[in-house]
Amino acid sequence: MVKRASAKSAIVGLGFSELSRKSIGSARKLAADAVRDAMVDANLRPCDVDGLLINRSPLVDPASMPLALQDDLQLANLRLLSSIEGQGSSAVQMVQYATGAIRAGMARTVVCVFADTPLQSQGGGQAFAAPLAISGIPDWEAQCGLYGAPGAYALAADEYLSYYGLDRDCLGAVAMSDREWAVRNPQAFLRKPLDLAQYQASPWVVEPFRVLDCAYPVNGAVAVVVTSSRRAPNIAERPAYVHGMGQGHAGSAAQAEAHDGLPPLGAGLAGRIACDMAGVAPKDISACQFYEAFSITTLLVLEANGFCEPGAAGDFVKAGETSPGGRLPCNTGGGHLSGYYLQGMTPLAEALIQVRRQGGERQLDDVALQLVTGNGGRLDYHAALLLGSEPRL
Amino acid sequence: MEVASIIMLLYCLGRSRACEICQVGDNGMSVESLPVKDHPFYQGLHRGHLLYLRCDVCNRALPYGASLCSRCPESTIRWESSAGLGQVRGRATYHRSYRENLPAPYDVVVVQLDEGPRLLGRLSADAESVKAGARVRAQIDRDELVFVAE
Repeated sequence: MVKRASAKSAIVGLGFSELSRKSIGSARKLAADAVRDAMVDANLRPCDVDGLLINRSPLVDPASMPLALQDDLQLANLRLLSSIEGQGSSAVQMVQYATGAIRAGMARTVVCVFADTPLQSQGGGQAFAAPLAISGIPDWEAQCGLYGAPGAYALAADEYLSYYGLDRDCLGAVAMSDREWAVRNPQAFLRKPLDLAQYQASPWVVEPFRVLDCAYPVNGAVAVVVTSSRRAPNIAERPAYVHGMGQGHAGSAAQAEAHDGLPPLGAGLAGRIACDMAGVAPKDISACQFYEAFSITTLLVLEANGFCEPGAAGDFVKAGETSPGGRLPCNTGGGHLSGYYLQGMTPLAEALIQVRRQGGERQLDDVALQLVTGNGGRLDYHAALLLGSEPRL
Repeated sequence: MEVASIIMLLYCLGRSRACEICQVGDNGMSVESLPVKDHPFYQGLHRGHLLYLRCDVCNRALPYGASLCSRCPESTIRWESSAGLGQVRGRATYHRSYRENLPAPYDVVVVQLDEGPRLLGRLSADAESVKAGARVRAQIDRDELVFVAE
């Protein structure tokens, strides 16, 4: 029996820029808007902030989100400043590194921000059309016609469904579960109820993915404020306490030797480390907020974290277990598929909204322990956080 | 894309110290930075061979992209010719074209070669019935590789 320790840090502020499908300014400007909003939320002045961590989309020019964001925000006394690049696991990683720095005494109050503007006047498709390097051979993806992240994830989805002999409605079940939550979230972008027939009528992108299997991108930014668990109650009415943190990077999932028919995922390792740190088991987790840019991710990560047996996640989701009223609510704001796609900040922000009991119609009763995940590459880079409403579990 | 990488390479070779951009250093170039057609895999295709990597010491087949063997890191690794046979593990069908000479629909597959490594490839247009689990054979024609039903 692992001893349950007290929280490692706490998140005491949450801020948003405007979120829009229209062009609303640069990522840098939106980042500043979100940080300002987060500082106001936590009732902090710029001089109270001594750490800034920045996460930009891996698809953009690094100069679009420079360290000089510090000057935009007039943060003159930083003791911690860095840009974190772990692809889709970056947002969770920022909270982890902020926690480490705070516990080591390097900083006291760290702002973590993500911003992205994938939707420009020419439309959003271009931003996501670049080949994702999964073959290990330079430029081979383009030679093969494997353009964009959807194609790379579609291969993983087909491999999973084929290996276990599952039908494609398993993917649709994830899209419908997300939508059920989004219907209850005024901040979500796709809120019309969705049934299986409507899902099946959604156009193909890269088979087995339909449009509704893919994230819904928006322009915008989200920022959070991390501080010590001791200071947190003085700053926020309902801090979200960080109880567990983990990462798992198992090497290219696209090339690794398959075990049990499937490539190993770092997600399981990340989740296990986080659970060990918190002294809990997956059965103690009350809800999950997954980074699921594609529907398949929810199925794979449910299994990798031990919530379902291998090959059983599709039935679990079809049975409504991740939907409102289910045993394990997942992506309770509508997730990436129906809420909005701001990479790792989408699941993190939703977990915070739940802890703060600001979820309105979608508010969960039990927010004692939520799992928040990030994943990047083609299921290659994974990070996990366990967030709770109390300083001790 | 290719032109851009060649320009980048020339730019980096023109600098005296090791370059962070493409890791061209005093001791020559890394595999990653070579213009695509000089990469051993593409040279193999040009000669009609499908190449993969093997460790010289333990003789294990290694994944594409490996620059060392994880079990024998001090050993050298070599390119070998594959028989070109394998099993489809996953298939993705594109319903939208991203370039003129590759009209949709077309299929991309992940194939587990019999020698071990997993290789990305395009499925031949007349191999429509080939799905995950099916046996396929690599067909190389004028530098182009497609998988056909075995």
